[in-house]
Amino acid sequence: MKYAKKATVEFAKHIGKEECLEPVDQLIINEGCIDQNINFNGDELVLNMDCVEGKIALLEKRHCNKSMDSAFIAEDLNGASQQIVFVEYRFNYVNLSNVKKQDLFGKVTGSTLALNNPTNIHPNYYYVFNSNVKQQARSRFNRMNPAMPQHHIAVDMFDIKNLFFD
Amino acid sequence: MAEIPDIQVSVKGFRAVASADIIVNGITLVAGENGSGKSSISKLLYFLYKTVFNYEKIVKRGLHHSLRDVFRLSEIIHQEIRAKVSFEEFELIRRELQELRHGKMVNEDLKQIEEKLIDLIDRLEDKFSELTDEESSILVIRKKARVKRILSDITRVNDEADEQDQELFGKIKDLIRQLVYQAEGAIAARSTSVFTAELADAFSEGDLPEKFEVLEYGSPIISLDIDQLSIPYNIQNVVYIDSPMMFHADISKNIHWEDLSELLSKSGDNVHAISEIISKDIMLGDVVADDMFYSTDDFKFKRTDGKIFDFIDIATGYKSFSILQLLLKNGTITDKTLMIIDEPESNLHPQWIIEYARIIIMLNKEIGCKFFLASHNPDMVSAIRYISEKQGTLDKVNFYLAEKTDQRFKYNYKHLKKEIDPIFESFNIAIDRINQYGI
Repeated sequence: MKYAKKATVEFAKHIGKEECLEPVDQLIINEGCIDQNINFNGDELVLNMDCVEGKIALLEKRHCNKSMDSAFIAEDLNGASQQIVFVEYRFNYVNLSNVKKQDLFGKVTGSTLALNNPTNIHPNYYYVFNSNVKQQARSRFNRMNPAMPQHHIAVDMFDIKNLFFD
Repeated sequence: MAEIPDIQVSVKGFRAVASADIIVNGITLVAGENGSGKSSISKLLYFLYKTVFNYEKIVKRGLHHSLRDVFRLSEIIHQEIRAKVSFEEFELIRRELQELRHGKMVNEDLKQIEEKLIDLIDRLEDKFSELTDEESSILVIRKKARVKRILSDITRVNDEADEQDQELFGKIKDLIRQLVYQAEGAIAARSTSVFTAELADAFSEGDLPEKFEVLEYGSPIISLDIDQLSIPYNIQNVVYIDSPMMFHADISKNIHWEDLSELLSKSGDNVHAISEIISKDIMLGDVVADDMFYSTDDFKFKRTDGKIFDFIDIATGYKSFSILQLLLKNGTITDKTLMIIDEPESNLHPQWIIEYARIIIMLNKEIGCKFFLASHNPDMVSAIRYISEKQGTLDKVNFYLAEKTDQRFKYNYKHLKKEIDPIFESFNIAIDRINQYGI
């Protein structure tokens, strides 16, 4: 499945959060990515989920729930199947011992709620780390007790680009 | 300009090691799968420094070995002349012979050894001549013939019938002088061949590295291409630890176990803050010995509640910390010590792996000793990386990973500097296998 810009924008309009669309390269810089070798075209828009959750919380007069950092629509080659992909950015993590499973699970739940419990969520949740700690993150995920389920996947930004944007 | 490392080790073509250029500034950790040559590098380093520090002792041990037939001849003649000398004289010769025979040599001047041994041979020759001149029984004739045959064997004379006894004894004395002369020459020369001979003893296969070179502050101090071994400055003693099981194993099976056992047997009661941390924060007890002169079998573990356990009965993890504690107490660990630890995580619970790494980092930071570690453990690697960073010593830490080459069973050692993720990538193969074989 690959990133679908048109479907992502339509979905944002559908949930009334068009103003939360943001170019992915800008979003990852704001999240702390400093790798100069990651190149997007500059027009790949994704939903900033902190923005989405913030607006809902304001409306509902409550504190923000935890949420994943971004979401976008991916579709198969003929566009017949579409799924919402959740991505969480962990560029500021230096020591992986601070990654807590409940925090990560909570983000998935919060994001799902913020999008009105859609049924077509991509089966994998992606956690993006700097390339120089990706393998440590994979190790950490697996060595939590009980281990993080296999569909919570530690990746770097190159993996995300290869999986969905190339 | 890049900073010149304290120590650089270069190995090529040795067992599984295709190529390794390794820096030892503070803590160096090498990782790699089984059979990638980590222990080979560890042992090369250990036996190099050990040879350099014990050079004279090793040469004298070699001389002792070369003289073994002369000692045996002396013992045989000593027995033969029993009837010709007083009990006091017989005992005196026996004691002198025993002293020369059993290891007093390493502490003595070579010239003194030569003089003592020749003097002893002179006296044995005199008494043996008296015996054979005065008696002509068949028994004495046979004894004389046997001794003459042994003399010929030692001095490599093919036809002893042509040689007089006196000449044969003279040749024995010449042989002693020649061997001592050679040993004196070897000590003065500090020959690299002494190290290569030690290596051949240490490894079951006698192959030498194609290249082995150690640089101190950028200048080669030891190289198989250079005939002479220099004297290192920044490393002045070396410790090799691979398994706390050595406490109760037959240590004679491993030279480095014997060496460590000897180091641990040194008494000492130095108080150091790190030793206190091991006792109070980690083991909740202390390793003790009753006597001033003890062997590793005599250690006891005294728990903070006063209960005392035989060392054999305590958990293996305690022994790992006890080794460090004993070496600290007896003053072995200094700022000029290289600690080589093969799989420091062995037998340790995960939380103690972290504590062990912390102690390593503190020893490096507080005392200044250097470490060469070979590890397979994610927690050990992470702990060395991140605790060093917190302690401000990361600039002296280097990580290496053994990577397969195109040649089967051969590995190149890649310098990762401070990056440990490639090591985790290799560890994570295990995760892939769990996912493959598990649910």
